[in-house]
Amino acid sequence: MRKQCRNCGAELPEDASFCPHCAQSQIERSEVKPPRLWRKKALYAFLAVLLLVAAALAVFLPHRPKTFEGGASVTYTDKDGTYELLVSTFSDDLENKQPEEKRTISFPVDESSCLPALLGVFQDGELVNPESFLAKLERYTLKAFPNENGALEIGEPRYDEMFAPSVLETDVFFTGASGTNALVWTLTMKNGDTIRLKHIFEVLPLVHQAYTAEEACLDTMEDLKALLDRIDTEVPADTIVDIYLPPVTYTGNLEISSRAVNLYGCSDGSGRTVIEGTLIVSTHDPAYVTLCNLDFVGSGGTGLSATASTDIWGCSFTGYDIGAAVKEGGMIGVEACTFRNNGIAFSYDTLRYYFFKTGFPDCTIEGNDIGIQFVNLPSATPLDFGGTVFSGNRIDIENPIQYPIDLSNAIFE
Amino acid sequence: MRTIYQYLLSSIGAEYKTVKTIKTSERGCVALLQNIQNGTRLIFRHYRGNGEVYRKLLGVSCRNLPQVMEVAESGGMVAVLEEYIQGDSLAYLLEGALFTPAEAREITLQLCNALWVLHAMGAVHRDIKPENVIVRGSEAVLIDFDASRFFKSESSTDTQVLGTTGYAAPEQYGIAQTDGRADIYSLGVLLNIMLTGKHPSKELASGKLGRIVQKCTMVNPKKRYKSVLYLMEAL
Repeated sequence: MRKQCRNCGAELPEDASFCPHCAQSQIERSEVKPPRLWRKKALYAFLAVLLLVAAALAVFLPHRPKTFEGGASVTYTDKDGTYELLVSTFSDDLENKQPEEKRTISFPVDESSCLPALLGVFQDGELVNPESFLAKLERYTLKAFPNENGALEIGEPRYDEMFAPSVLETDVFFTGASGTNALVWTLTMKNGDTIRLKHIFEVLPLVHQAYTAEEACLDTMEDLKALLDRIDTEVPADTIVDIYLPPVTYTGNLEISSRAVNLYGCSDGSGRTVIEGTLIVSTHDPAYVTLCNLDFVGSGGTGLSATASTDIWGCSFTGYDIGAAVKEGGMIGVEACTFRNNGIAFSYDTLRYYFFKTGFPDCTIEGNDIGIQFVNLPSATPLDFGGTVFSGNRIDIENPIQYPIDLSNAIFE
Repeated sequence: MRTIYQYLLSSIGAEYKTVKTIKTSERGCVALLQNIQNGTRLIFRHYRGNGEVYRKLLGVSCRNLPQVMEVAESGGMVAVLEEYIQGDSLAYLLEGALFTPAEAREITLQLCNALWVLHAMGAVHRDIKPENVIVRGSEAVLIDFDASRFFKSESSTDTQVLGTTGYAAPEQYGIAQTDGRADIYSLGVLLNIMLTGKHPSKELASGKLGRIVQKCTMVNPKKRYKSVLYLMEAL
């Protein structure tokens, strides 16, 4: 078999690839090139992207706003250090670095009260300077989330030096029907971080149990003390005890120290219930002690001394060095009472309290050396003496601490 | 009936004149021929051995390899007509001066192109040296495949020592089977020679190219670039 050169037509062997006559190739050639070098470039591109992402993350991550969530305590770290934040409703808890995961109190369904919600902050085991920590905060809230049919009213959190261990404080208003609520603190920091703390506030409704002279012997102070001892042992803690006293005179001192009880003097016109001595209210029961229609008659000393929350209505105090005295940790809410011929009718001397009435209404303060004496009383809620009559006192109001008072509706005779 | 081998030899005898005998050895000779009628110059190789590599290159076009025009074999003899590359050999150019790193890199890359074609066919050049690289304008062309052979993975060593001392990889001296990485070794040596004028064992080029030379010339073939593609990436 022969073939012809496709260039010069010369006769060539069939398997010839080349024409030696005209020196021309007789075959088709395919151009060969190595594959594109993509691997290294792709790797570089990938690494470059990775580097950019890493750089972006390195810049962004440390400054990315973070959320710190916890129960009653949270550890928070920012550029200035690490902080321990904790919440409670007791100042003492904060001082002892004890977060309060749950607070349970028993309270009358038909009454209302309030407790402070406190936020404490520690750094390196020490309480922080409130101002320096507050300077880091953009905003802060305390909200209640009812777990059942709870209902709470919560004020605006703020720094209150009365609750000095805490950086923020607000009042939580509740009734015995408030049920169980989660109290959630949310702090938004200026650097974008968010801190959330949560504790549970449970109110168990209290029921009333009444004692009268028909059911119990209430003739003497000893009888009354014996009844209080009996109540301590036989009445459940979630029961409010109301003792209706007969129109007799109780001589001697009495201390309500273990649980809150309410004492109601006789008011049916058949006579008055008189206490000749001193009544001390020192219970740690969160329910406050109510005293109604009791006449305190003394010869020196103190008529009523309260280191716990006490409410008095329709009572009178006569002949004491101090008629009624608010002592450390306590408070006395006063309405329609008479203070007559005492050294000091009423004295405020506390730096801490859990209950406060903004009024001192409809009282008669007469013939005392000093009417109202302010020795110590933190916070600045004005005290309104509307309807109260000051008469014949050497000094009506002694107020060296310049506690804000409203006398616009008081009567001076 | 005449074979293509007989036809080629008789045609060359009748229609070509020998311009120059380039090389003669026991295995055969290489000559520069010129077509008497149209003056076309061609390289004629006539040697005892295997023409398989040339046969495979017949249908291939690569700017860094000479075009193989014809291959004919008979009785253990191989006759090859290939394109004459008009240019200076790298050996000649190196007598004048060394290459800059950019020039050396470009030449090495182009030789990688040529080697990739050979290696893709399963062949190894086995004789990379300045004399076998012709610089034609901006192109480097790898010539002389007389020492080339196809590598077989099953054989543990090559039977013959081929190549040029100094450029040949250790495995070409019988240490192990020769494959494409032997050419990478030689190319590494060549790159170093272009940069320093010396074998890398005497003076290694500096910088990145020096590191590439080092990896090309590792004694253990497994530590060299796995293929010329990796070497091209590195370059």
